[in-house]
Amino acid sequence: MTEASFGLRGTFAVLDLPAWTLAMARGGSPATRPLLALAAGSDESLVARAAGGDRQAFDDLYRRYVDMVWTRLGRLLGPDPEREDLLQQIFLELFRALPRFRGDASFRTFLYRIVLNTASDHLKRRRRHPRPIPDEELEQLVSADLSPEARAVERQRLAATFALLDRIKPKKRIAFLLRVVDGLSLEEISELTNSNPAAVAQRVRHANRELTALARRLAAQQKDRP
Amino acid sequence: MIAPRRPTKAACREAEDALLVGAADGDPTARVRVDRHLGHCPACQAIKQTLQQTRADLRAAAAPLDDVHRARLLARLAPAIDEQASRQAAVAARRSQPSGARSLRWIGTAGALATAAVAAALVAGLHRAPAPYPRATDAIVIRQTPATTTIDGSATAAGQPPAAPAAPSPAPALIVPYRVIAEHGAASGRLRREARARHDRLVDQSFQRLQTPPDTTIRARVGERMRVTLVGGTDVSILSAVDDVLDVGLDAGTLVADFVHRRTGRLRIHSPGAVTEVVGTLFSVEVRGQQSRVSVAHGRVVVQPSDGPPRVVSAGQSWISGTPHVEDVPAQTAALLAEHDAAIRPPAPAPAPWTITPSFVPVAQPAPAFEPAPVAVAAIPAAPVKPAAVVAIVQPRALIAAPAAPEAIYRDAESAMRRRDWLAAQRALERLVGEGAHGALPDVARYELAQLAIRNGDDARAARWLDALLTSNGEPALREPARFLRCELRGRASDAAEARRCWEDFRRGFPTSGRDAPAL
Repeated sequence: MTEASFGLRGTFAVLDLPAWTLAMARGGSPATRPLLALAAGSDESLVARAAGGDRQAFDDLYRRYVDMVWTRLGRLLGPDPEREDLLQQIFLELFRALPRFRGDASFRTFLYRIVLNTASDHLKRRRRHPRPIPDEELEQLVSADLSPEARAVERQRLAATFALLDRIKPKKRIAFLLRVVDGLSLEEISELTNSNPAAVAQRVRHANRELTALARRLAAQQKDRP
Repeated sequence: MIAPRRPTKAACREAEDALLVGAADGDPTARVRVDRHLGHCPACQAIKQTLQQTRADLRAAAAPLDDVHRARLLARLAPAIDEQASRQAAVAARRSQPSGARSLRWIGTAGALATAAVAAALVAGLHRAPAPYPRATDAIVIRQTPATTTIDGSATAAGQPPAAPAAPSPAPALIVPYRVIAEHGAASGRLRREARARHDRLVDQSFQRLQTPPDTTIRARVGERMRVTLVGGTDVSILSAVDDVLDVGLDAGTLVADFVHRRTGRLRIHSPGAVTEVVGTLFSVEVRGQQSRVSVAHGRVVVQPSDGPPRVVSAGQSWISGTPHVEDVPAQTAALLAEHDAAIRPPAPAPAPWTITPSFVPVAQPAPAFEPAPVAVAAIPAAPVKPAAVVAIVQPRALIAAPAAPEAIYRDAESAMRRRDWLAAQRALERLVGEGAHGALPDVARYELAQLAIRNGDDARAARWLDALLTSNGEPALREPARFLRCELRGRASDAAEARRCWEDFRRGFPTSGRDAPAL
């Protein structure tokens, strides 16, 4: 898939939905998918066993979803040094919440909601007590092929981007990133964030407007500097 | 040539909406219009570029985990999950109690308060030398044989005072120091009062073998690291204590135990059909005829069945010898585990729902004939415990859940690796392995050490680390990458036949591996 090969949707690969969202759309409650639930190692059977206290099943769930959770956290928070703690918190919360899982939504959606709630709480805390991202975290995002000067410039640009994102409210940030980075539809975001699609669209627009204004202000400040 | 139209505000808004919320997705005409607008509007192109850049930056920040990182995170998570699981089990057990039992909780509270008061008095030195155990018509007498101390239900013969209490054995032994208990409600108020009055006269009793009658529950300890609750007619014995390995035999009844893990030392329970090896956990072993059921509340145990390969029983699981599958811990066993867990925790929020039974009065016996190896005395000390120990129980839970030093060592190694200080990283990782810590971290360290050795061109050393990892029976997540790396090293060692065998084994062992293609 190349950027030139199609229209707007293709130009923005961000709008291409990941495979799991399609699976989620096709899904439904375990009650409507009895054969799937019976399949050994299916999410439903693992969830049922883990909810009954089977640690092996929970470990299997962990191994199956840890990458997904880690990636989503990275996309929502950026290079945050507390990401490991948050990941642990999410799985602990999942373990606590499993007995309450009724299967109304897919397990992925259930877990994704926990991820979003945890990330949202963390972003609120981070807004109250902002901390610069450590250089070593940024360093890992910069290509090793660049010259030292180019790497420094790239680090600064990344730090500015993440600082701008930190300035907008967590609700708006999450809606914006789910839409722009994860490429979820408004309906999917509204299901995850327990709001309606129109409100999600407003949050995305507001976030973009605020980011643009902040970026302009930052650029003007940098220009004014001697 | 027609000059491009000047972008209007409305067109920009439409394009922005299309870019941000996909407003033009379902409308081909609008998509064409927006595409055309994007072709000649620099402001909207800038928005598009910014969004693409943001997407790229955040996707880069979400680099996937590697195997080592994943295993390490799981190792960090495991104790927290175990703790949570045992807490949930305790809550479930409390909820499953019949309402009558709940209403009798105040009796337990009163008993615990009285016990604590007695213990405090003893600590304060108000306690006089204990009198010989009183004789009572309903007393249970300890009958002793050279290697066996038996408690049965026979009545004391009148006029036969029991022998004086023997000095506690310095060797590992079952110590019944303070609580001789029965199921709640088993004793009447008068008998409970008598029992409380008698309680301060109980002192440590050491047994190498203990047989308890049905309908009694006895708490005991072995050394400082193991606390047991014996339920029903149990027959338990200390088999040996050599080289930091304590072997306990269980021939009948139910044994609920917690074993506090330290740097070294293991506990093995030998029961019909299985040997259960424990490193640090809360678990139970029940013997029914020639079968044993092993149930784990938190932590993990390795069980060696008499007729098959070893298997791991994890928290919340239960396994019966001679059967292939694990199942959930039965409600009755879960209740026992939760009750034991609650009883051994010092700041017990709710008193255990039991009361002291008057029908059991231990009578002392001479030092047991069994003499364990002297080395075990140092390894698992069995210091004499005063009756006051009733309120000074070691905190196994706190010890298990304490902040793990290995985690800090691993963090040191990690930051050294970030600084590219390979020597410091290697030292930290070797220290971590040398500490003999429990869990996945030592395996993670072995894997990292192997990779460091490969980086240094020392394939032989790398192979040694990988072999150590593969034989440690540890973190399963690392077995596949470690096996893969080991095969690569064999290939590099120009031992074609060995390498081929290794790859074949790898493909058989991990048929769904993502590394199957390179292995092939």
